[in-house]
Amino acid sequence: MATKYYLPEDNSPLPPKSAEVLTTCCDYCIVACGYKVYRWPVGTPDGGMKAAENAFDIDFPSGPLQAWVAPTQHNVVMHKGRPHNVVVIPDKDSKVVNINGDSSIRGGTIAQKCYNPDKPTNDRLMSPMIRINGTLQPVSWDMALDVATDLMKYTVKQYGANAYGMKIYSYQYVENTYAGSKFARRSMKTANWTMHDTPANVTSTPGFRDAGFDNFGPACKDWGDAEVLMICGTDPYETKTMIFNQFIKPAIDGGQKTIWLNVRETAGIAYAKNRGNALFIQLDPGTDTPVLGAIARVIMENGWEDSEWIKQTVGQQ
Amino acid sequence: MTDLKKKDETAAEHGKCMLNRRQFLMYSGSAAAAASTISISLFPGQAQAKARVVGYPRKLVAKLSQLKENKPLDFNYPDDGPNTSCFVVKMDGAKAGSGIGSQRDVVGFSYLCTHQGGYLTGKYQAVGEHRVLGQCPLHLSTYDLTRHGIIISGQAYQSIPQVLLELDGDDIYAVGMMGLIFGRNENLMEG
Repeated sequence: MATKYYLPEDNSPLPPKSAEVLTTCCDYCIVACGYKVYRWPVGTPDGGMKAAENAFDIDFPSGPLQAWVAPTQHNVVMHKGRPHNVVVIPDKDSKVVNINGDSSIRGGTIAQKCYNPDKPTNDRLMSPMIRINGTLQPVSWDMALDVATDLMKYTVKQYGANAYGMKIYSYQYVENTYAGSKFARRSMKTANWTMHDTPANVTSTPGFRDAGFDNFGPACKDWGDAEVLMICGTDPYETKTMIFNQFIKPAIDGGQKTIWLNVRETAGIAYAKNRGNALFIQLDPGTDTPVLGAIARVIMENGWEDSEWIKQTVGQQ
Repeated sequence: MTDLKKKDETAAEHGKCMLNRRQFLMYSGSAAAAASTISISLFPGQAQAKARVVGYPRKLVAKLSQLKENKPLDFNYPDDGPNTSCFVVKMDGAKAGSGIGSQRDVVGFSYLCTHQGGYLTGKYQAVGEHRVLGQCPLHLSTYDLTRHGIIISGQAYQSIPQVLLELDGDDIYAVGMMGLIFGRNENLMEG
């Protein structure tokens, strides 16, 4: 792809019956949609267009909502020393979140993230880099870890445990989050640790936790069950696509009211407006907090708040 | 194609993401063979890639004088089999990548959404300077018809495939296709 022009490909291989099938999930957001990976050696026959000849068990051309392989869903990777085709498509057997194999544009193209030196992944670092004599140079993992360990020990000894800090994702895979958190808090004994979506790991920031709202608490189903949603500064159609497509969109079709505070009228907002049960408040950037404050003031002035709920939840540890 | 001005044939005129038919065929025929599939660059087999690009039928799809502004006209391409619903539209003066006619505003595209195959029939919209196809009834993908069908917003895995058009007098011919049609593994099916 050494051209500045966009050159869409007009073919893609179908996985043969003999392809290995693995499951994986999209790592772009907390929803973690299910995907299937089909892998078979380059140079062995691809699948054919008849159901009896391909791994999907369907005839091609396929129809709406059936399996299909877009060119961006195919890649070639090295596996056991040999180039292999990989096709990564949404899992039609998914029973939760991306039910029946729905997908976002991000998850839909995760095959492009597989390392391939002939694709834009060719700039991926293949080893740790350390600046030696003014030049970044590739080094072994052993050396990189030795240097990092020595520097961490030196820093803690010189300035105390809290001089070591860790900023880590709060979701992705539980195992990773657990290992990273345990290392920072138990081994390094630092209080200087937080997740990527909070400035510090205390309940008063960023504020909504103090209001009794657990940002990763609601089940996906709650987004569809709510009678009214107020969506501020985001469009889940673009950022949490499955929550929108599988839960919010059907709810809007069924009469759910939505209130959107956003700078732009994005696709999810346009859809909700067209269905006739949405209020879109188009803001100047950075003015959402005054607007929310004004809404809260009107609620308080009219006594519409749930005093008992606030008493029980807000400010409680 | 006598009414085409030379300066309009450069991709630079359309912006960097644009590609006219001449460049498309040029890249496809030689340099871009490597871009066709990645396995080809690992295992040279460029003749095969060439054949795929140049094998499209030349099909009369409409007459320029018959097109009304912003009213799509339907046809099937590259064959009459499944998933071949396409349209040609004159976009009321909106200049487009690979557009033909004196205003370069006549373009052709597939009707099938490249996300999960939703039919975009009746979803052509002309709003101000914009010419779009969408929102798809299944998952709301929307495409920009002035820029080779790139995704404006949505979940599709690639642009909506563009039918390459040629003008011969008043006759509009479909002569090729950019991008894989939903549901097919190759645009050109055998038999």
